Amino acid sequence: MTNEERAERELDAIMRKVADAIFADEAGTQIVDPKRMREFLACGEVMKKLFQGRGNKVQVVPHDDFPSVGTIRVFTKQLSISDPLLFYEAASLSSNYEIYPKLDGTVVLALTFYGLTKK
Amino acid sequence: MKFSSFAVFEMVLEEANERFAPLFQPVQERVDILKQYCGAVDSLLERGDGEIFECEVDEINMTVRFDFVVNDVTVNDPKHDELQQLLARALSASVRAEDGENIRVHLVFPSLWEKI
Repeated sequence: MTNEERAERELDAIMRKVADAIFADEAGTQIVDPKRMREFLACGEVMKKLFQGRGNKVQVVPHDDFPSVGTIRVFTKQLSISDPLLFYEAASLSSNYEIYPKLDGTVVLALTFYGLTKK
Repeated sequence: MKFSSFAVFEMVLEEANERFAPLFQPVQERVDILKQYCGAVDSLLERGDGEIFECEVDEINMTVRFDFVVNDVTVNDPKHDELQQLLARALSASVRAEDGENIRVHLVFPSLWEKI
């Protein structure tokens, strides 16, 4: 086995351990954290207010992939922020967000919320 | 030589001062604030592998426009991140795709000038 193959195998093992830990953490009975859920939904409402229509698509997905994770995605040709302070206040509620381009010339704003549920 | 958006801004500021004089003069406090914003832009350019920064002053309403192009923007600390701080202080902002691989961030800030 070459060094590269050995390194790849070790990385795979680490990734599997991380995945197992995440799934273990997310398994079992979860209770919605009402405060965090309210923040998530409020941010979603603000993003809809700022961007819905005009050919834009706003998705608000609670428990996306995992029960404790929610995402808000805006798909648009141009993200026009007419009220930057409102955007700042709403986006500050998220755990993190990113803005990236797609090959079709559109832009995606993806806000992630952790902690929607707790054990 | 490390890129400085303030160097670009200073050139544009000088030109604008000449254009608006003698009726208007820049308010130093506002200029100093914009200088801080340039620091935030430099940080975003470095994080997002950006190389393009443009600065313009609107002839009519004298607002200051910053445009910069980066691969993408990732905000891990939404309360304190530089982009968030810039957005909180901008009059308006927009983001669109550029060349399919980058994004162009456009920010508009209030005027730096007051009537003499």
